[in-house]
Amino acid sequence: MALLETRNATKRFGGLTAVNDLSFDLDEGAIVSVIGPNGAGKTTFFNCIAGFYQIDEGSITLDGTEIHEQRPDKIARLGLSRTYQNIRLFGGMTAAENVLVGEHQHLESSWFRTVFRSPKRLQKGWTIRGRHLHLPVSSVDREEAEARAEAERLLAYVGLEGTADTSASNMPYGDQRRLEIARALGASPRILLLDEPTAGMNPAETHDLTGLIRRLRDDLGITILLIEHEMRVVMDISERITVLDYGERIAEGSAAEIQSDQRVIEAYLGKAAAEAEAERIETAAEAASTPAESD
Amino acid sequence: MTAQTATAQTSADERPDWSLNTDRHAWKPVVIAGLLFAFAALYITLVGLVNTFHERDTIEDVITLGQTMLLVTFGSAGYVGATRAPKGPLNAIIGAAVTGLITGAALSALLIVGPALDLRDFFPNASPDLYNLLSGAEFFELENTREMWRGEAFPVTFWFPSVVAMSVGVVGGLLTLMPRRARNLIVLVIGAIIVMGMFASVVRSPMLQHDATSGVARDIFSSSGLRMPGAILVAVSVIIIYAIWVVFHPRERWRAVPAETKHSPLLTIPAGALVLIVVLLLPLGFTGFIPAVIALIALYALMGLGLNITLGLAGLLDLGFVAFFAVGAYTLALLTSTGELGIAQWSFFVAVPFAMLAAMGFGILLGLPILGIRGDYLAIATLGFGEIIAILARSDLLKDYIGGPNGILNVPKPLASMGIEIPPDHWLAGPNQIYYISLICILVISFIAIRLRDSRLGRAWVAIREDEDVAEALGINLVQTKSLAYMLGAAFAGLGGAIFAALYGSIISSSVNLNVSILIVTIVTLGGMGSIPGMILGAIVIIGLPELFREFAEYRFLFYGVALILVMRWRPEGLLPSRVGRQELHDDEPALEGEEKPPSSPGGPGEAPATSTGGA
Repeated sequence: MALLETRNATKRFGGLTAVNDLSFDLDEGAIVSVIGPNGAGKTTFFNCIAGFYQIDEGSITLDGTEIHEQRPDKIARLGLSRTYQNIRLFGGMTAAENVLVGEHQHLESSWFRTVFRSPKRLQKGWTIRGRHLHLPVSSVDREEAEARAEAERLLAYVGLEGTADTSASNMPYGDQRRLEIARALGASPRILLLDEPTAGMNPAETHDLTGLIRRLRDDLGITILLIEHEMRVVMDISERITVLDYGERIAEGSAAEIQSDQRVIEAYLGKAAAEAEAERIETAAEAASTPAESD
Repeated sequence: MTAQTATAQTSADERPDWSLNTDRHAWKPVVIAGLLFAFAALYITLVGLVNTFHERDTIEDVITLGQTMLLVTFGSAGYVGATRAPKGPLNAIIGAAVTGLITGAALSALLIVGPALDLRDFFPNASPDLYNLLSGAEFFELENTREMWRGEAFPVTFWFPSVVAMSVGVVGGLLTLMPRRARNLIVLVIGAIIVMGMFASVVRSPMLQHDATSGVARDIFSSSGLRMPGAILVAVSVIIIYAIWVVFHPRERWRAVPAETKHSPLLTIPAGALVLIVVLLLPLGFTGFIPAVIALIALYALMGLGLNITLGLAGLLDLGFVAFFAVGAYTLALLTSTGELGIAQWSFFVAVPFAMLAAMGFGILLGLPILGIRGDYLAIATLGFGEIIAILARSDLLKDYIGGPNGILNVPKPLASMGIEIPPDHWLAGPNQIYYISLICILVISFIAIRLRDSRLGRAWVAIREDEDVAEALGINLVQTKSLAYMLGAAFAGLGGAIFAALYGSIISSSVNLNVSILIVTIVTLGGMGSIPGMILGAIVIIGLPELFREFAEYRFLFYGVALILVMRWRPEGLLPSRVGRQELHDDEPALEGEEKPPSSPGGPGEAPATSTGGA
């Protein structure tokens, strides 16, 4: 059984069917891309999985648990984390605090214990005539220190070493994208949904990020589902690709299969252009060209 | 024309360019500024501000507060006119004169048109008194004023406000040409004299009590303002303080985002001790109504801190704060009152936890169904709750239990409720014990707020405030987290209500109204959301100033409105913002701050910062 399964999922907004009868499997440990022209329903699909939208028909299950009627926070606690197409960091917080919010669901300190813990100074204590006198370290402070260390470790992992106390809104664009990933990792997810992670990045940054995404899977065993427009990234890292158009899945397969799929080319280039393109390919007799890249 | 502008721009920087700019469009901003100030001048005269303040002195026998108000308007008009005029000293002076003249001309027009058209039918304050003041009738010893103000004779000195406004405007404009420090000094001296004149009675009354100071007080203050020696004293002290300030703080420019500077403990410890002593002894130095005002400020600061958790941290705009305030007040009154409606006659200190619990219970009851509502809609829903409780309080339905419009009377003061009788001249008498209780509560609430702010819960609140969807997608249970904030806010509102009932010795239904909610939201917004010192400053400005300065009372909401508009325009994060608030609203500034930080932070004690003043 796949880790994430959707069966006949349909989402309508008034007369518009944004996701139409979509069945989709995401196997554990895979890296899968969802591509499609603008307005194909990719982000809507993500929002349905994450619980932002309720689907009108069908079902979504995560590791056997039905999630399509759950609240987003419940789904998050089942191990699903995401990033956003237009970065949505907590701008007033520092980088570390953003990651700490990501860790929220794994922290346990109640507000009551937080208020009534002993002062830090007394926990540190004083050495008087060779004897160190102090109060026991409060569980709240211990948890907080561990969470902070974890946040700094995650920041370093995504390549943001030393930025812990930088205000998130003051970070460069590429770093903000990485910080969003670090924040999602704070929740220790099993599945990570990345919505256009390389949008707005230069080729060097894109290359680094592609490496990071691959490491997330290889090192941490996180299953990755991404929406991406940059075809070089898609072809490079995804093991399977699902193509959506008008909310429907029009193709699914490996990178090579998708590149030669007639319906995909049509969806991206329009029918007439696709026919011309197919003709050109035939005459050139080059099966390995990359027409889908020219979007 | 264009040739002249070109020379104006290309001329050497060192020597001031005295040429006149004759480009018509360059003067447009000046005229607009003039019209704005003309409107302001007409407004303050016709609403009656000037009349009311004319009865109080800034400096006795020299100038009244009403006159000061007009002159400050003229001066500001000139100042703004000069800054909006094209470059060059001559242009600045002309700009100042133009704005001043336009402002004064509006008042001159009022003198001609007002009596002729019987403006008094529409503006009750357009009275002969006002016309006498504006036309300088006393100064010119005019005789036929009565006919003039009935519209039967022409107001001969109608030109008076125009001339005065233009002259004062030019003086205001000259300020822009002065060195920065001289300008600051003049503004500070004038400001200090006005403030001292306004609060003369507040300072005077405690001084008169003691034999040692009463003589000085009589020399310095009159019953309604400063005396001449007092004004000179104020001016000299301001000059001395400013001189000391300049010596020790070369960068005195007041920035919206002050760079974090570490002061040496040599300075902070005595300063902290001084503040502590002043705070502890504050109400003891006063008699009359002032201790009650101080207690009220402390009480509102306390409630501000309570709402600060709901609004400042979690971002829930709760306009129904008064509902929980009422629950707390009525619970306490019922439990402690010695009157006929009292049911238990408990001691204040036993009843307060119950008042807070009751408010908290209402918080949960009201909060759970509505906390799923977002943003502005939540504000409207809570507004409804506030109104429901207010209506219930004065309804006949509950009249047998909580007294309807008559309320619950005979709520004893906290110590009296424990059976401790305090003589009226004791230092804990009357509102003073309320003040100290509020002070302790402020400390406790601040402690709780600080502890929660940097915790898992505090971060969840801020996350919800910034982006609810993202917070939820990170596993934060919105309803649970929000209702906790709402509940804590409700508990502190209940505490505030309980103390309020004890302060006034009663709770009546007319005390339960929307104004309470609005006042507290204003305190939080003005003080700076999320900031604890901000709440205290907010309470002083919003509650203290109008209470101390009785003439304000009528114009209270005008004052709040203006204060809020000014703060939102120039300091949207509030007067004393929290770190987060500052960062959010000044995204462009931290880079600048980063540049200035290195030279100031490593500076050892006693070492003067190397930053040059010229760069500012």
